[in-house]
Amino acid sequence: MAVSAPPWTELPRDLTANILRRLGVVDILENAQKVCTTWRTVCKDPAMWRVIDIRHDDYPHRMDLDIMCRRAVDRSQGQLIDIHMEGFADSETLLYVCRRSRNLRRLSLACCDDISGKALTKAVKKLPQLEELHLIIMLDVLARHVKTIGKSCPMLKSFTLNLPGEKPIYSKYALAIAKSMPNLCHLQLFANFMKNDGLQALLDGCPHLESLDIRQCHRVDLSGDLGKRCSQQIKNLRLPLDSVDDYRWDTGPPPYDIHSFRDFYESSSSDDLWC
Amino acid sequence: MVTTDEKGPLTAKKKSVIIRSCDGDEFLVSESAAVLSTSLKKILEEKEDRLIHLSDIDNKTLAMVIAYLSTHADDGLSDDLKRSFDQEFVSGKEFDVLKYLVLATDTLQVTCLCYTVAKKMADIMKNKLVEWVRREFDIQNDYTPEAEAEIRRLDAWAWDDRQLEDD
Repeated sequence: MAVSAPPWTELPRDLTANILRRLGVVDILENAQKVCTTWRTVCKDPAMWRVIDIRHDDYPHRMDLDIMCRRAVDRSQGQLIDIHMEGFADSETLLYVCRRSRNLRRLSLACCDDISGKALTKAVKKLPQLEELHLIIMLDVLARHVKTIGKSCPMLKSFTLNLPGEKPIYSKYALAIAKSMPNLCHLQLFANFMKNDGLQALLDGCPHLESLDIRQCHRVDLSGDLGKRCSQQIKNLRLPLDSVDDYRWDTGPPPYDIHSFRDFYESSSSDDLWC
Repeated sequence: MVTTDEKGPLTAKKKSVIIRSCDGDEFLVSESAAVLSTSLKKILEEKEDRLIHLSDIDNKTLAMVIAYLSTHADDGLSDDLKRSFDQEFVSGKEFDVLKYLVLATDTLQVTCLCYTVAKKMADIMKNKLVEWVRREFDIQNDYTPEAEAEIRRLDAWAWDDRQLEDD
């Protein structure tokens, strides 16, 4: 005797939610909730909207992702704890999200060129519980913004900063982090122009650091005591020349700068160079 | 009928359990595999009996779940191999089979498999129109025409906002 499976609409509600949740914001709002009244009820539950992840690349032809995002946040009714916005959000949308999400623990922004550093600092002030902040390929984030963010989010434990085309202002960002984020446990500072003084300040200013990823930070010199200190203090360390194969974002300029070029020229005979 | 799991007859040293499906088929499963299911683990902790009867899981579905549990309990397999087994496991299965599976994993509390199957089901539904989902999942449209019109009105926001901006 085979058991007959119950109709879709009679699956346990949690199970239906478990499946529909994985569809993502756009598919839920556009399709799933319109299928039947049972699914609509499931999709209206704020618990469905605790995690929001919207990426422009998944919907390259849609121009209304910012509005979708706002509707998803409305539905969460303040229960949102984790949001990733990629390639669509502007300052207004970010502020809209943050004003309505006091419980947010994790904010991740990637390739949002229209979010200003000023709006970002204003937005995170609304997030007293924020523990994780990831800023990836954001054009307008300055060192002083980083410092203000650190001061506004005392619970911050995990921070990622990968800025494109950053000007060589050396260790400013690292110093801002060291001064304002004393409780960090995890830090990724990708392809940053910091020098040894910046790294030194990070080790001093963030004593709880367990993991540190400074891949592509080619201006730090880890051959001396600083390198030793890093490997002693940090449990999980990723070094400037470590593989970036598992890194999905732009990996920055090639691993040399003017100094290593000069070393290269000075140490090579002309024969070596041209043969 | 007693069917052993994929690894063949169990050695005397290893503890094993017999699990019976609702249609009476019995499966011999190593205890290390069975306890990957939170529900089975609880049952085994509470009673001495090595025979567990599952009144709402049929033999085909149970065989699949047990194959999954046995693979994941095998210490000799690398995590990569287990991951590719998971991918294989859900690929090409029909909706109804997935539905039985997701229900069974929910009952047995096999969180990882429940996640994998739910993800597969969502992937199938992704980017499909409402009508397609209704047809393929055999779901009746129980909206009244008024309710449907109301939803259309409420969901017109995206379009309206765009128009305002264009103006």
